[in-house]
Amino acid sequence: MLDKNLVAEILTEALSTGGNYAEIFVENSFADGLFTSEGKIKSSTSGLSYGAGIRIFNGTNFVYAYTNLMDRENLLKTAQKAAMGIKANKEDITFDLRNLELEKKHQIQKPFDNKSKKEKADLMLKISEYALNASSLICKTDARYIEKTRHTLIANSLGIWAEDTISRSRFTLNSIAQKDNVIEKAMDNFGGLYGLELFDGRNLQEFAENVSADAISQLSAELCPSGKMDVVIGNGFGGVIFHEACGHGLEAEAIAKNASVFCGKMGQQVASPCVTAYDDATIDNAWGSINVDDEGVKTQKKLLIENGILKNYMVDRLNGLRMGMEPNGCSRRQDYTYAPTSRMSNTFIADGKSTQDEIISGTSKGIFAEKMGGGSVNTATGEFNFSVDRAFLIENGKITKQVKGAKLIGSGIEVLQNIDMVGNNMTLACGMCGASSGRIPTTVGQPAIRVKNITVGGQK
Amino acid sequence: MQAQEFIEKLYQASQAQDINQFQIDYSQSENLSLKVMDGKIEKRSFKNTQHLNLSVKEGKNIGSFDCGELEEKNIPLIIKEAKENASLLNNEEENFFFGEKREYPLVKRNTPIKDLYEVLDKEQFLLDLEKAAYAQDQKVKKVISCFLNEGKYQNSIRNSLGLNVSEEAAWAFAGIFLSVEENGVIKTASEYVKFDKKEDFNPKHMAQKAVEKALKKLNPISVPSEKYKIVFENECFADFLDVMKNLFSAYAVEEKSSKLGDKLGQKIAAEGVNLVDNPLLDNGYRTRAFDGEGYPSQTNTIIKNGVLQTLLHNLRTAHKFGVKPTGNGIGGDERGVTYSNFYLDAGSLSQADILQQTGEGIYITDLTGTHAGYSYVSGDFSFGAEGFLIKNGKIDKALNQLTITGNVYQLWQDIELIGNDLKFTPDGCGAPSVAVKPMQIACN
Repeated sequence: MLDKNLVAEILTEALSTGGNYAEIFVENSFADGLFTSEGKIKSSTSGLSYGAGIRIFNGTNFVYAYTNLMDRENLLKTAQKAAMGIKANKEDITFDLRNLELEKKHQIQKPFDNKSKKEKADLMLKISEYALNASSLICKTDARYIEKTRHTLIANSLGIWAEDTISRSRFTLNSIAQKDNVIEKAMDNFGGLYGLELFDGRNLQEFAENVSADAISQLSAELCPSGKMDVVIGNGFGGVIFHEACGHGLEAEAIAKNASVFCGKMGQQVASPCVTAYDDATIDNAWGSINVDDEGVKTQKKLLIENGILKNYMVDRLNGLRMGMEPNGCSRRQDYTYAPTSRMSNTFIADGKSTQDEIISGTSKGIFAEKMGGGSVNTATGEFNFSVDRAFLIENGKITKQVKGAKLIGSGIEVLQNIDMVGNNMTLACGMCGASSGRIPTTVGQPAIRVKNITVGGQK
Repeated sequence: MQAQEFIEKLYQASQAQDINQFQIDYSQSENLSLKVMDGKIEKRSFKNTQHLNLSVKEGKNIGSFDCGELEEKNIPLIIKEAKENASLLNNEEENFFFGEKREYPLVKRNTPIKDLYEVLDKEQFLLDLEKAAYAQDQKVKKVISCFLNEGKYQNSIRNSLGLNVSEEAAWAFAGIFLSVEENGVIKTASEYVKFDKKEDFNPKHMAQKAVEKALKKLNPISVPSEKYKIVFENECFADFLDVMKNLFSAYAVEEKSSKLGDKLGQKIAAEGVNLVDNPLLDNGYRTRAFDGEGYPSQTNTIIKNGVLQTLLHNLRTAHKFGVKPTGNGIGGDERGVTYSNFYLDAGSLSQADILQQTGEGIYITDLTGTHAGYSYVSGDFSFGAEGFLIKNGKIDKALNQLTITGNVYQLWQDIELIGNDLKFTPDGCGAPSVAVKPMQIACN
C-alpha cells in the first residue's frame, strides 16, 4: 500500500519531538452491501475506503492523527502535526522494518467476484421467499448481505511491518409475522471470514423457515413476569451475557484506568468453579478472528478464566505499558479513524458437563432465555442489562409457555458467581461490538448455562 | 488532488458517460480531540478527512458509490460501481434528485461562544476539570474519562439538475465521566458542556455537577417489582425520544416498523402533546438550511395536541405517499429519513410541580441498553434504568438497578404531565420532564 521508505520517513518524522514509539496503520478496504425486501432489490451499496492513522507514545500518553489524504506530502504533514502534540527530549531510536511472518489463516474459498451482484441478490430473494412462503401469517421478509475485504499494513518503530488481508461476509434474514393487530419480528444470521462459500453446506430453506416460525410463535407469547428467578440461558448468542457481564471488564482499557470490577483480581476466584472462558482470535474463519491485531501483534488463544479463577486480561500495547504487562494480540479498531485499544474477538464460555435437558429439568421455576438480544455494561459498576429475544417459562422442570419482553439485569461478578450449571452444547454466534475504538465484528458463545436468582424485568 | 478539482473532473466524466441524472455529495472534516488522565494529557488526536459519494439515476432508481480516496485513477471505478448499483435495483416507486430553484433559509446553528472559546486553554481546562472532580469529594473513586472534542466540517451537494449547495459547521464538546464509591457500592455519572453558555467555561462548576449527580446515586435501596407512576428526567426522556423517533418516519411505515401509517389526523397521544422536528431552531445542535437531498429545511409539527399531523419524508417517500417532502432526506441512495432538532415541546409545569402532583412513584434519570430492548415492529420496550423513589411529591432515595417495560404506542397515550424545562441532548433530541401513568418496574 505504502512504500517502505516512505513509511520509515513518516515514523522518523513522528518521533522527531521526543516520542518513544511511533506506529502507522494503513487500511484499504472495499465493501458491498445488498438489501432485498418484499421481493425487490431495494438497495445496493458499495464503497472504497483508504486512509492512515499515526500514533505516537510519550510514556503512557499518546497522540493519534489520521487522514485519508494519502499523498506523501500530506502523510508527512500529518506525522508532523501529530509529533507537535509531544514535547520531550528526543530519543535516539533506530529501527529496521522487517516483515512479520504470519500464518495466513482464514483464507476464503470463493472470491466475492465469482458471482455478480445480481446473482447474489437473486439468492437473497430466494431465501426471503422461503421465509415468506413458510406461512400465511408472515407478512414481510427482508434480507441483508454484506461483504468486505480489508487490507491492512501496520508498521512501527519496534521494526514491525505486518500486512494482512481479511475478507468477511454476513447474511441476515428478518421475518415479520402479523395476526390481527399483533405484529412480531424474528431475525437470524450467519457470517464469518468467508467468501461466497458462506452459503455453501447450509440448508437455506430450513434456516428461512425457522426464522419465520420464530416470528409466528412470538405472536402468541404472553407477557414475561418480573422479579428474581433462575434463568437458563441458551447456547450461541447467549454468550452475550459473558461478553457484557465480564468480557468488557477484562479489557486492559478498563483495567488500566481502574474502571473495572476485575481490577486487582488476577488469580482470584471471580466466577463459579464451573466457568472456564476464553478469548480466541485464532478460530478458523470465525467472524471475530484476525491473524494479527491492529497494532501488529500476532493473535492468540487466551484463557481468561479457568474453573472460576481469573487468569488473564486482554491487553493492548498502550494499556500494557500502564499495567506492566505484555500486549497479547487483542488491540482492535473499526478502521483508521480510531486509535486501537484492547477488545474482544471470539469470546466464549467453554463446554461443561451437563446437557441442556438436564439443566432445564433440574430447574423448578424460572425462565429459559433461548435466544438473547443485545445488551450493554457499565464496566465501572459492573452493572449490565440485556434483552431476551425468545424466552419460555420453566415450571417444575418443564418448558411451559412462551413469554416476551424480558430484560435481564445484574452485576458482572455476581452473575458469574451464580452460574451453577454449564451445558455441553457450546456454539458461537456473530455480533457487532461498539466501544471507544469503534464498532468491530466479535463472536460470542457459550453452551446453555443456568444463573441462579437473576433479576428479570418483564411487562407484568 | 484538490477536492474541487476532483469533483469537477468527476462531474465532467459523469456527463461524458451519458448518465441521465447524477449527484455528487462531498464532505470534509477536521477534528481535534483531547483526553486527560491522572493529571496528564493522555491523548491528543487530530483528524483531516474527506469523503465523496456519487449517486446516479438509472430508470427509476438511484444507486451510489462511496469513495474515501479522491484520486483521479478511481473515477472510472466510482462511475461504474454507482451505475451498476443503480441498474441492479428494481423498486417500483421512483427515486428523485432535487433540482428546483428555491430560496434557502438563513439559519443559526449552535456554536461555542466565539470570544471565550478562542482564548480557552483547552488542555488546562481538562486538567482543571479532572482535578476539580477529585477535589470535590473523597468518595470520587476515578475520573474515567475527561475529554474535549472540537471539529468543523463542510458539506456540499451538486447535481446534474442544477443544484449546488453547501454548508459549514463548527462545534465543541467537553465531557466528564466518573465513579464514586461508598461501602463497596460504585456508582457513575457524567456531565457535558457545549461551550455555548458562559458557565460552560467553568471546570469547577462542571465537576461539581457530575460529582453531585454520582453521589446522589449512593446507598441505593430496592423496591418490589410492580407498577409505579413514572416521572422521566428531561434529558432521559430526550434519550427515549431518540430511540422511538423512527415511529414517525415514512420509511419505517413502508418497512412495517411503524404502525402510524394509517393514523394521520387521529389522536395518538395525550392532550397537550406537541412533537416537533425543527431544523430551523435558533442555536440548535442539528440546525441546518437543507437536508441531505438539498431540500430546503422547514419546521414540521408531527403531533399537535395529541393528533398526528404528518410523517417525516424524503423526496421518494413523499412522492410515493402523495404528499410534499418535509426536508428529512438523507441523500445518496439512502431510502430512510433523517431528523434534525427533534423534540417534545415544553408544557407549563415546573419539575417540582410535576413531582408534587405525582406524589408517589419512580423518577427515571438514565436508560440503558436501549439499542437492544426495543422491538420496532410491536413497539414493546424493555430497558435497563437508573432512578430514584418519589415520596411525598419529592425525589427520595436512590434505587438499585431497574428495568422499565411497556409499549411506546401506549406510552404516548399515557403522558399525563409535561414540564417547562425543555432540554436538548447533544444528539439533537429534546424533551422536558414528563410524567406518565404507571409502568411495570423490576428492581435488582
